[in-house]
Amino acid sequence: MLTDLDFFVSSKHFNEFVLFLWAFLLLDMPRYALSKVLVLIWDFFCPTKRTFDYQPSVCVIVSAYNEGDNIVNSVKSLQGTYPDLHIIVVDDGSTDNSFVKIQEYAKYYSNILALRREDRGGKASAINMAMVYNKAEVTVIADTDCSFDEKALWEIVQPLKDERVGAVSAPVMPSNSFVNLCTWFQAYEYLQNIVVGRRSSSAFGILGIVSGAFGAFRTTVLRQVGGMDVGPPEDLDATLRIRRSGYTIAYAPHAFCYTDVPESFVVLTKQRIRWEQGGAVRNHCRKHIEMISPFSANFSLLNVFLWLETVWFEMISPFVIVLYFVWLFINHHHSEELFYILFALFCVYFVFESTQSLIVFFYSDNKSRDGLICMILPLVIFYKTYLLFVRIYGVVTEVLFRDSFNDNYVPKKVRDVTWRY
Amino acid sequence: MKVLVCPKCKKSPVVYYGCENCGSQDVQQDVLIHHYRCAYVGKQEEFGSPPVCPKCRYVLTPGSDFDKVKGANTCVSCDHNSKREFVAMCSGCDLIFPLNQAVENAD
Repeated sequence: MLTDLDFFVSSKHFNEFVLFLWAFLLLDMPRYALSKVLVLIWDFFCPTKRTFDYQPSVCVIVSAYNEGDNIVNSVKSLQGTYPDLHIIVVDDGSTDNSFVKIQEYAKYYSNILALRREDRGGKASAINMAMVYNKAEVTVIADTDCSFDEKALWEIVQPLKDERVGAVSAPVMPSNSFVNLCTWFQAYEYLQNIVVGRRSSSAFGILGIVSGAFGAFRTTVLRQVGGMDVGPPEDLDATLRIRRSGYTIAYAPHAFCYTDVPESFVVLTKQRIRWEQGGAVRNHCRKHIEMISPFSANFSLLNVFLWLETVWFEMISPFVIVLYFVWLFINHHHSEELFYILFALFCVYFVFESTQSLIVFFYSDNKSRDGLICMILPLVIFYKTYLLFVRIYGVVTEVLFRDSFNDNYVPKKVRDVTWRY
Repeated sequence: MKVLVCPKCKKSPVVYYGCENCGSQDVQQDVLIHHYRCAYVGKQEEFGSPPVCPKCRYVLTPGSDFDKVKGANTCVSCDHNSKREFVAMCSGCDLIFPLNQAVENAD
């Protein structure tokens, strides 16, 4: 079989190969792999120094809806890790005893303010409510199901020393990586796309997302853009508005935050559909389409690149991949070549993924954990195929039905009156 | 019998609800307005009369697109966002201190 394959490979010209693999080169895998290699080379020759000489006052905003004990645990993991720290917890109309718990905890600390509204208003309004009482220079927005590294707050504020930086993105990792295959796949994905992927995006200046799980904003900038808008997703929308007002987004590669990821594929599918629906279609193509207009204020070519990159890889390339495979099966279904082409595809895919994993390993803060996570590499192709179909479903439903505006994540009274882009 | 007394002069204090920062009794709960459309939340004074949203400039329509929300307690004299805790004022030296700083007398 290998000799046959050898014959097949040697009988083809390079351009014939490119013809077979053309669609493959459009996938986000080569994008990530190439950008990571470039960043690795860049970092090798001009390493950046880590400094801790900037100490602004920080206000952490946590919004909670029916979180129970989580809320106290995530506040506890932040308490005492930074000198000038205020924490504002907003209970967004929980129906359980979240507020009683946080109030009991807050009683003993003068730097924690617990707020409560009786009826749910959505995450965006909860954050905006906390902004009324925020007097700090830097606002950190955190999720209730997250726990934080003890250095995380120190790390995340450092890039804000640069006046041009409006917000700082931070790496997010699953706290339950090895529960089952589903969480293991997600750990691998987070490691590739968030922990190292965002490092390369920020090196190219096209980082366009600050996670709602953990991200820092300069308070004046966040006020200037009007705080959060009705989501989902509030985080992506706020980030794009900050970029459009002329600020850059930095990345703090060591400010780790650990979140609980879905442990079953059913929950994961729902989560991903929500992410896809609120992603490129709703924000890049509808709400923030002016980003690519040269006549808009604060026009910048980097924003155009960011737009093109996101729209291409999130909206167009999934369809191209599917069309490519359809094309491949129609043209080659009767020939033996199909098997070889698929095998060649898998080999190329494997090389790209391994390169990425090596780079991830090079940058890793916790080599034993990340090494174990990367062991899942040969199976990731199934996960990526699954994500491809979820992505296609999300994009199609959002383009046709604007499904993200009917998401129960935002209460109905708010959904009914807000703008539909 | 052990009682809580002033940490400075060991006399018994008067205890009342007040601002934990300055001891003022003038602590009021803010009324905030949440504009559904743009998710803006701000103090009622910011909206003016007739109420216009400072973020999106829309005139608020009563009964449909905004809600009044209770905010934090704010001290009128020092602008501190108080939890409205017990504050103690010493009857001897007039020192104002949060109740958790009171000490137990030794007798």
